Amino acid sequence: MTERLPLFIITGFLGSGKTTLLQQLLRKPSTGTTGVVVNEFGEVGLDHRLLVHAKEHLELVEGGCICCARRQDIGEAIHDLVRRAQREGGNPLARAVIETTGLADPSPVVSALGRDPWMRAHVRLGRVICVLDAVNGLASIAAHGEALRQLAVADTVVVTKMDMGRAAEWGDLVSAVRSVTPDARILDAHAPDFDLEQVFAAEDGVTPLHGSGFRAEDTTHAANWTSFVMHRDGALDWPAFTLWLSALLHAHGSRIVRVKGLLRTTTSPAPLVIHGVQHVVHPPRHLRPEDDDGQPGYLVFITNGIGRREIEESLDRFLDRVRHPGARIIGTAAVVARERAKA
Amino acid sequence: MCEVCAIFGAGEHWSDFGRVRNERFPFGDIRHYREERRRRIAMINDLIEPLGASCEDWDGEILAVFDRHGRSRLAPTLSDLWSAVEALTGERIDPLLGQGVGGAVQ
Repeated sequence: MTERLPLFIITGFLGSGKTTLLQQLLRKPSTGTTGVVVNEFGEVGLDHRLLVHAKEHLELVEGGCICCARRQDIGEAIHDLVRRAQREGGNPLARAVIETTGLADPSPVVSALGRDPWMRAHVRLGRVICVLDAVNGLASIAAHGEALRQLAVADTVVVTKMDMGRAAEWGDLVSAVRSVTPDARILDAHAPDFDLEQVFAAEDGVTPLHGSGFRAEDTTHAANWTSFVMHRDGALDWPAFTLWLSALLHAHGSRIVRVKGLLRTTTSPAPLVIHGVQHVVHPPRHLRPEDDDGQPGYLVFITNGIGRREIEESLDRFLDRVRHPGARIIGTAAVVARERAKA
Repeated sequence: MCEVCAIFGAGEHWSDFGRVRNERFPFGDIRHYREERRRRIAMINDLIEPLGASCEDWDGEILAVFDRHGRSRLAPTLSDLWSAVEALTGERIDPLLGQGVGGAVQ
């Protein structure tokens, strides 16, 4: 079976420089053949051989959760792109890139990869790249939920316009980004060592970082959002963990904006890198032995209205429960209520 | 299992990465993968039995959930399991509540 096509999502608020970043990529032949999907005609002035326009079409499913909105247009556009690349010959596609509109929430696109059977078999998530404008970016994050969400879903943040006089201080930008998405890669597009090939490297979207890269404290943002890092010493029982996380996402997926991290498990010697957006978790990746520096496992959560304590206690309780099979302490709330009534 | 060649595969759902490597068809690790799947189903049964439900493996790919009356639902992946349990038992699954998978009557 052939390797899945990596899909990179470029997101970012209005005027942040998404198209400029994309143009830089397309002008660099060494980065290989790129297929591009853009959402609207006219928004992007791109002259590119492999360009597909997809009219953004959100179809809300039952429940109305935005991450579950069907983005059939994305699957069709990527399918079209792959067929065109095959028909026209030349080098096979090295990647596909989708540039979202400035006000779009990228999570339905990420979700489409996990839900659409054709996409699941042929396309994998490369990276979610958020372009952050050094001049207006901080104000956008503070004022617009869309900008905050774009940043939360991203694993790589490319800061643009650092060369302009009114650019914010680098430290302030890094601090703002880390407070939302603690383990994101943050790159300055104007730095001499800025490497586009590194930005669009065909890896999965989580780059394990050392603990020192994290903010120690939990951070609450606008709209009741919280970001926190949950450290896990020792090896997690993978089957038990999957039961807990799937049940958590089943019940609260719409409030878990992002979950990602590196886990040491009982099931394999190599750490697993996992990442999910709301209800959808992508197939994890086993870290190569040479990339494993022995750091303890961790999970980054970006949640809406659920705190670290609730989640941490829930996981501990669950792991304790499965370690004691047959113990009749499961007590659903209903059972607990009945027991209380009897007493 | 592949319907054409009868090769045992490993699921593509994220929770199926109890395999040891990144390969999509981990032939060498299939026994390990099956054992982890069996262990997970034992845990599921331990959790949902008090709710009046049980779970069986269907061909190594799908989970079949039953209630006390013998009614059943199929869950193609672990993400579909909890909806199936809820539909059969009338309980809401929520690990933030109570012990185990938690829950409350709807």
